[in-house]
Amino acid sequence: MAITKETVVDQITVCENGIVLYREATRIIEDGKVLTQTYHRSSLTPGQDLAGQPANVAAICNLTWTPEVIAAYQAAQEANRL
Amino acid sequence: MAIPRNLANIAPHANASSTEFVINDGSADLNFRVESDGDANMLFVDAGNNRVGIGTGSPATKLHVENNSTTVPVGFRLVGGSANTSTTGLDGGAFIALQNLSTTSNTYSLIFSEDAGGNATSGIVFQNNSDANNEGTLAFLTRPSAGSITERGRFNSSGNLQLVNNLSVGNATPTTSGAGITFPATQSASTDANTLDDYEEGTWTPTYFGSSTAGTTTYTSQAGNYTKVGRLVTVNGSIGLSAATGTGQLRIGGFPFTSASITQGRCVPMVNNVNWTGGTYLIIFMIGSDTTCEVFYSADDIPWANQNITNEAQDWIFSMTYVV
Repeated sequence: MAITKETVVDQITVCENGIVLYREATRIIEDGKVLTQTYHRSSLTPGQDLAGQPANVAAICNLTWTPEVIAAYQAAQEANRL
Repeated sequence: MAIPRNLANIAPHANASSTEFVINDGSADLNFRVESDGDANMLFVDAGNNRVGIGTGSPATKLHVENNSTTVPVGFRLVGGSANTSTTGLDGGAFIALQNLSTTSNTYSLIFSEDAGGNATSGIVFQNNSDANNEGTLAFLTRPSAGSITERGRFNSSGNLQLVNNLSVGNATPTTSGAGITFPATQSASTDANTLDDYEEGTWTPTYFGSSTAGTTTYTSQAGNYTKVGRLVTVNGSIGLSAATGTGQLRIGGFPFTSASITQGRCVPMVNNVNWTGGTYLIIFMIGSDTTCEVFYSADDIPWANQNITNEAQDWIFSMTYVV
């Protein structure tokens, strides 16, 4: 009977405006069966500093965040402000 | 060809005036058996125990059908041609009726699946709640590994479904803790306005930065939790910081889900040590289609305006609900 704990990025969502949402799942596993699972969510906006972010998430951000996407996001943010 | 030993019980009725053909009319304890090509007990009447076997010479119940073949399934087919469309009457094209003649309340009729050892592994229980009121309940049973067969749920006589453990939708794996409804780990969004399609709870990390330059924020604490029910996200967050080098308007970000395209989430935060740009209170607004909020100050008769980021030790606590 082996009990292990793991944290993985189990979900990455790239929104239309370039925002990247990702979810980390922390699982307690006994003999391959997930006993409990908790989530931690993070969001990254186009152009944001990616230091400390998971490598696979950062890779997707770098692919997605072209200068055009960043500029469009910043313009939309201004437009969508109160 | 063997001569039936109970021929004497048949003979008295094998005449032209008889309206029936009776075997064992004398009710002797004398079995009756018909062979087929390959089955010595194609039809077996156990006279002593008053049982009929098909494919077995030792029927265990009133009617016992058995086929030990590992390749040919055993079954029975009821074929009917009724055009009746009622789902409540016992006159459909084909039906099976389980009748319990007992008038005692809460008696049962059962259908079980059993393993090779005869142990029930799952079943359906038809409960006659009250013979006087013709009231009934339908219950479902399963058996866990190395456990006992157990009721898992039932439709009560009023038509309500009661589950003992959990309900999962979208083929989600039901939780093994507590009792509740489990949604898929990845939402299967519904466009129907009356459908609840998601539930998730977790934590998130709020961030504090400037709109012109994000800068570097030195946090003393960051904590947040969220609960998402359908399109509605409720977040709690707290930020403690000792310094922030960003410039421009204050932004609070890192929210767990992107908001809908309209600006809607808002709250009045609890703040500590903040050097306000003006006004008498602060309001946090969620930016549309974003995971970031802006902060406004306002006061009586003073138009609201953006709070700027300030480089100082401060604490923020807030709670907000927004739509995604």
